[in-house]
Amino acid sequence: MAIDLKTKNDFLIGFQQKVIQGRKLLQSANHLWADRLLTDLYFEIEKTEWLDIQKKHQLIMIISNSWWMYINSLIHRTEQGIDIDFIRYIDAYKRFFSFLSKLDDFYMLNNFATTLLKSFIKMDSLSQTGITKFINSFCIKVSEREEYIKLIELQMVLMYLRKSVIPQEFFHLSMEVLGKTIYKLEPSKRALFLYIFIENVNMQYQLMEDSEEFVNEMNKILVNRIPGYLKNEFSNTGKITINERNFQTILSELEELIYYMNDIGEHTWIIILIKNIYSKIHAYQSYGDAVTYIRKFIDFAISRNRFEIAFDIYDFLEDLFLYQTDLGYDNILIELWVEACKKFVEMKEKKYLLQSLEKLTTHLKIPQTNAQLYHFFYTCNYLWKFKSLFFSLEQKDFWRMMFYRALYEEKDFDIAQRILPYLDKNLVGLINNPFLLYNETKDLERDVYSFGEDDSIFTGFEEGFVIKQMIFRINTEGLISVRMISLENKIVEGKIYNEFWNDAHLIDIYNDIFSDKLVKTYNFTVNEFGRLLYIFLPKKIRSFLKQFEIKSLDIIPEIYFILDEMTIPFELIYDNNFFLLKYSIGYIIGEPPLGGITFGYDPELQEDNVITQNKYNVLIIECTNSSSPVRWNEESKAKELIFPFEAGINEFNYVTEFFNNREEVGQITILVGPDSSRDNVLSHIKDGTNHVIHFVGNIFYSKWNPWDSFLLTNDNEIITFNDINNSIQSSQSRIHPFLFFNSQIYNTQGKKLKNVLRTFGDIAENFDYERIIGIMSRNYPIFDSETNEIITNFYSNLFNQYSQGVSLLKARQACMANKMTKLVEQQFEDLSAEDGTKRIDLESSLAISSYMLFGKPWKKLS
Amino acid sequence: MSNTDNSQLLPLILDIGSDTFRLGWAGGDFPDLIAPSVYVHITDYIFSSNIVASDTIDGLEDIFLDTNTQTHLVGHDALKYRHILKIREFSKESNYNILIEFFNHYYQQLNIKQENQFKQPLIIITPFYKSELEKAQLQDIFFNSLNFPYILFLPETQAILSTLQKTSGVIVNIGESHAYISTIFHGFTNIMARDVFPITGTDITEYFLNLILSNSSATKNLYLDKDIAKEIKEQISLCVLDPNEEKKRVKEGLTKYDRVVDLPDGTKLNLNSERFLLSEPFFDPKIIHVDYISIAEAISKAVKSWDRENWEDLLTTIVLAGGTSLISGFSERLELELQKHFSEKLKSKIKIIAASGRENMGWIGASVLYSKDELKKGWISNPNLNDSDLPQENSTTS
Repeated sequence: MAIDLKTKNDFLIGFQQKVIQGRKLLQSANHLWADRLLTDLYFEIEKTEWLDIQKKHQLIMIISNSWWMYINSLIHRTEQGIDIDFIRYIDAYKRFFSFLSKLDDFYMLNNFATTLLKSFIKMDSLSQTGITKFINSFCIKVSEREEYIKLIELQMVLMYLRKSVIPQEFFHLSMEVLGKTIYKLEPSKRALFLYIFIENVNMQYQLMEDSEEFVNEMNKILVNRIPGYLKNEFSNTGKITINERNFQTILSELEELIYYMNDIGEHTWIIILIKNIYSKIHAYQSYGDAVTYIRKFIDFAISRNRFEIAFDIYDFLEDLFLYQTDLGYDNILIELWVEACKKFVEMKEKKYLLQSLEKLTTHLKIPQTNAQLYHFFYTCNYLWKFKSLFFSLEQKDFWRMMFYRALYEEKDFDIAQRILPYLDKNLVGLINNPFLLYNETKDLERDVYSFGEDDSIFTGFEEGFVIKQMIFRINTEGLISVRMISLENKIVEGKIYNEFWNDAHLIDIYNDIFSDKLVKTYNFTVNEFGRLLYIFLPKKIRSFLKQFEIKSLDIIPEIYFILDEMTIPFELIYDNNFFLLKYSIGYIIGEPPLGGITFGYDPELQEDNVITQNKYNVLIIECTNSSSPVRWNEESKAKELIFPFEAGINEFNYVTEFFNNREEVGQITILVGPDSSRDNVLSHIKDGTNHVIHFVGNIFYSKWNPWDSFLLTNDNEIITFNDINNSIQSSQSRIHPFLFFNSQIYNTQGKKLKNVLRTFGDIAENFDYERIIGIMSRNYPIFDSETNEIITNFYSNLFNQYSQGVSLLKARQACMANKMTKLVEQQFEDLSAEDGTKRIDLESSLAISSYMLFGKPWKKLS
Repeated sequence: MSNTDNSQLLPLILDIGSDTFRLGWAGGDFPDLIAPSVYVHITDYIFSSNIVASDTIDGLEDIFLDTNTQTHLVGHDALKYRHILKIREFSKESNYNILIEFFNHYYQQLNIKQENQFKQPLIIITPFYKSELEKAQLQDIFFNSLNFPYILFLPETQAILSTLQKTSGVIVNIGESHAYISTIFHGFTNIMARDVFPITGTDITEYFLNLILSNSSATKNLYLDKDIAKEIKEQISLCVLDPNEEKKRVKEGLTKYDRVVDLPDGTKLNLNSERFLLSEPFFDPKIIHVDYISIAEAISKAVKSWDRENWEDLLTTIVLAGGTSLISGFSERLELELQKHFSEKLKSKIKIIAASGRENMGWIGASVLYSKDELKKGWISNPNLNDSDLPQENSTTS
């Protein structure tokens, strides 16, 4: 769901203020109001549709952290010991648990309640009533979530702490679940399974020193209360002893049990067995062996789609590694969670990816050394890809990723330097000079972790494969498909998976640079923006484009982009070599036609073209609303136009003049003033006699149904794009027109829209491209000598039987060449003798990038 | 507070209001201790009482709190937890056990030496509606449980009038839970010339809450409860002379009464006419569905219970007391309303006295009476003590 930046910012500022207010209320012991405020805030987050799951999770974490920080602030360490205001402490905990139990995610409630329970176990005189109430009310939550293993564990802890059994609902339920599972196992394995389970309760809650003794103790407590169906299994646990000598036998039995439990669908119990195996190998062999051993179960779990087991293992490994490290930047923990994220991304597993990302972000602390900086940015590049799958990305994610790609993948030190101010402040402080950082850390590339990815996307490239046409399909599902056709009509195809197109930040920068705001948020030139755009492309595409450059200098390749949504013009991409001046580019927005795309010219059309056209009919339609609608302006005491379009009128005059003087133009029809009425316009379009239809006017964009966006004609009627398309479709003529829209776009409330690419893209998506040659649009209503030149050259090329893509490319090239000559002359004048050679940096221009072509670039005027 | 041994045996004046508790040494200008008449039970959480048990994890009270040593907190200590524990008012509940706990707690703050503890005569201020049974219960507590030697139950009206050095007048005392009108003429009371008025501060708060809620239906998630409404009421309440006219003007765009109140959760509450409408039930109880005459009429009835020639003396001293009478503009409006019930000649005589600090008027009046040595009579001695144990009765006078 597209949502504008202001709404987002307002929401986040409001959120921040409410959290601060909530924290203030907590500190002043106003739990009642703090709870109301924070709970309402939670509900507000939940019902905000445009927030993605990850952002929601982040915001919810901030709320729960507010509670958690407050609870901890109530503990004061004094010389006499710990001083706690228990009334506040208890109430805060209760409200915190109530808050956590509202969340879908049981993980947090489980963790916090379990940690608190563990602290109770260590208490000297623990109230029996209190602990019973605590565990039983925790059991209510646990059984609501059907976390039965946890339920049995809790009941066992309760029995141990009370040294007796409360034969109530939860006890019976836990025994029943245990019994059902045990009875699915073959008799010889039951006691071992039960033994491991009970032992695990002891290890997890640290109840007794010796696990074997604990199993016996539990047997004693339960002796008169064990249900009949479990009596034998419990008494058989007394016969089990696990020691170094018999461990190998036990291990193979446990492994067998793991596989078996997975097969019978009881996989939730497996993690208990895995943890137990770890502790045994650790005790009898070594820590390293134990870690290596349990790691193998990650792939076991992932390949069987048992993601919760994989996550539990990573979580368990994290606990183990945490004990081994200090609290600084830790490569091992980071790499652990990068690996987890990668696995979940590959499986498109959202829930555990989110949790793993959360873990990864927690460990991704600000680095201290240059080596850590490299590791940090390298990881951020991965993080970007991982997050792109399901979640929206933050500014900092974007700039960190861009910095890495600029510095290490493209070695573009200038742009890295320009990105620097946008990185987090504490990172900027660590990087004095990107070039020095690169030199110091470039060798680390060999040793850094990787997942053995290959940068090449194509196989079957032969020597001398000269690309004629290339089609890029970028969808929102993370798939980029590329198809190439050589001059010899050989076809090579390639796919890039899991590259999720997430260009929201680029659009922000784009809108900022191309706005008429005087104070800009981003300080980039059009050229630099082109470089950012290039760096933003996936590495595989960049590598490919580099390769592509060399082989195609002597011809004009056509690139055809199929996008779900029009966001940024690819013409702006600047790879230090003027991307846009080498390729002829066309777009199609939305789904490609069911019949697929035919490259080159349809045989039927080619037949038509046997009769060479040398005269073309042109229809010019003016809807600039230059005389109405008007409104009263109190300041100037006069009526003024509501939708003035000065640049459009100038261009209209220029284009009319231009067509009038062209020999190739046979008949020219100009609908202006009263002639530009709804009926007149539509009947002329339907007429089907025109090869070129040139619109100049204001478009009123309907966000609910872009297809119903309209032009306001001079008889105060509207023409929707649906009408235009229908008129073209209903025409009996065999002439397929070329459409040109020079427009400025308003919303239906009359507010001028800034991001016209997306809006016009939405409109262009719905045209019947089988009945038109293509659509050219203008993103910026500017009219100057450059746009003059481009329009003139474009139409001249088109009339000279160049394809529409090549016509636009050549028009741009001519414009740039002209500009370059002027610039070179200027720069040479400025060149002083001391400077020696000087690099002439040619800036891109608004005029060039303001023209975009929708449709197949290889089509010509019919 | 004096620290000499003798001064520690001076009488103590005690005023147990439904909202506020006042305790201090007789002869002082102001009560030594003023505390809210509230208490909390340490396991009586607001949260638990609001939700179903399964919403959270229970048992923490039993694990963390030691209820063997302390179960209650009183006064200011209790108020610290007003957003966590349920606040209770022992005076309204007639909970005498808590009263003992409460009294003890604050009595200890007077720093009385061990040997002088509970040896002071007590002056207990009592409004006229306090029943004999209630007085007997107080007597029981202070004599049998705490062993004080003497008690004097001092009528509140007498105490209030003494602050103005008057012997005749009308007392209009509007408290949080009680409101009454009482008249004294040259020191004499008349049981026909007094009235318990059925509208109190609590009713006004509830009405105010209703006014806000019915006017802010469009505001989403507006949380208001009586506590917060009471706080707002105390800050911004008004009484105007012509509420209908003012209401009309507000509708037409008058912004004079506009106030924006920040609620604890950061939401803004816009108020205007509610500010003055809230006090209208005093002048027309039917607004809140109470079938009773207005406060002005109730006062006039009390005055008119006396002989006509005494009315003027009474009308020149109409004393406002009690926290709820602090509403700005209340005295002016009351005067206007009262004028409707008396002849032209008497109208000009009506005088409402709204002294500042009138919420403590009863206590101060008792202290004044003590200083003027006018509290010689009416002392009750503790029957549990022998004459030799009792301090000399003249020690109760200065």
